[in-house]
Amino acid sequence: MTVMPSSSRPPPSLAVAQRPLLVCSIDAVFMSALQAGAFDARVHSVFHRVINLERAAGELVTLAARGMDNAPLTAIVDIPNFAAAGIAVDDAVAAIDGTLHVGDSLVLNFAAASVWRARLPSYATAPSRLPEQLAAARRYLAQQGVRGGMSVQADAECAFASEVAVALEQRSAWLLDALLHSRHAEACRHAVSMLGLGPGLTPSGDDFLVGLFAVLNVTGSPCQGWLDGGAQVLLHAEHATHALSLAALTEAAAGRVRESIAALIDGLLHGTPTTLVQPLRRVLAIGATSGADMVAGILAGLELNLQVEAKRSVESSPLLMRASPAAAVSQPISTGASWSCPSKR
Amino acid sequence: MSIKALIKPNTYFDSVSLMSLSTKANQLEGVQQAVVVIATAMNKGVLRNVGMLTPEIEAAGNGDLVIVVAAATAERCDSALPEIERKNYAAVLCR
Repeated sequence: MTVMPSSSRPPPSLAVAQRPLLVCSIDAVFMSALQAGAFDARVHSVFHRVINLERAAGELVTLAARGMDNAPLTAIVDIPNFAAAGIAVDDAVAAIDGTLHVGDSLVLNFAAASVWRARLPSYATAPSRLPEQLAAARRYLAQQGVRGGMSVQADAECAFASEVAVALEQRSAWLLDALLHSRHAEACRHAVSMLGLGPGLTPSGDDFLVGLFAVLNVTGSPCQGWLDGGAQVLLHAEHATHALSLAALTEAAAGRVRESIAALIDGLLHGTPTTLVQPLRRVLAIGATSGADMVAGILAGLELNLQVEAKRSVESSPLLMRASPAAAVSQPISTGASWSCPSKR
Repeated sequence: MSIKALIKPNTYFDSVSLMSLSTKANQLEGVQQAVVVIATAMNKGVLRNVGMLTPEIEAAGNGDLVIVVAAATAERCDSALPEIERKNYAAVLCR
């Protein structure tokens, strides 16, 4: 996809612009970019409830319809969807007099928008309830028959889906095992091998890594900062997956994820089984199976934290080590690959 | 068995539409298997492993959408691909 230099693109026509739509909320980083001036972009992709804009330097920002959750580099627009907005790929985008003009037909007013900041919960006060919360989440997923690319049965009818399922299960297990045993260079290789792997607009492997990277950025957690929160993996990602997926991975590796993902991690760390259901449902509702794959990454990451805590506890207790050298760390970390699931085709 | 692919450069479907299109493609009479997937290097590797990688897919880029079908004959592949393309109308094609 070629990005036309801003100087050669026609500016949006003010003459036919409609009454500005209000922006309900906007990510602080996106707002800063707008306020800095010279915000030139083009329309990268158009969906029913989302429009992605690509800035001249290649950075993607998102306009999302009302009802979608706040997210990094995203503005929530007071419109039910963009179906009638008349926006097409390659339409020019420019900030003019405090408004954002998208093509000839969409003008956005940011004046009354509330500014949202991506924040992950802290592990610090944690989480004697985490094991129970993880178990409750897994029970819910099993009861609901939740399906994701990470959980397609290996004997699925479609050879491609079956092969992907095996690869995702193996590679995620190798990744988590390498992390648990502090083989971070090896872990990085396994994570890279999951990039761009699987079905969906954002491949299942990418979605799993978004969830895992979010957890690696939780302040005060035993695994905080491992693989630089995921940034080490992304050094090898430029040509491994497409721009939309890479944008989500890049933000997650900086500890910036959708509001619903942060709420789920908070619910797992500090909530109760009852309060967990709503944030779990919100993440599961993302995409067709993306949410389920993100949940798989989040649960695996939090289980990894518990395993690391247990491992450290064993290692710091010589008596316990002699009695039962690996009892506390022998439980494999679930990647979610064992959930019941016929196929994701 | 014959394998044929259609590449749609820089084409993004939302995941729900992708899944719907893939399901419909697999239900077409005479189609043994259909895969609708983004042409990442890893997905190309899987297509190679299951015998569905074609030179066109190999040359496709990260943002390209691949529709690949396996059928008993080349003629059925040739007729299936336009049928699958027509099913795009039921989805939201973003190009």
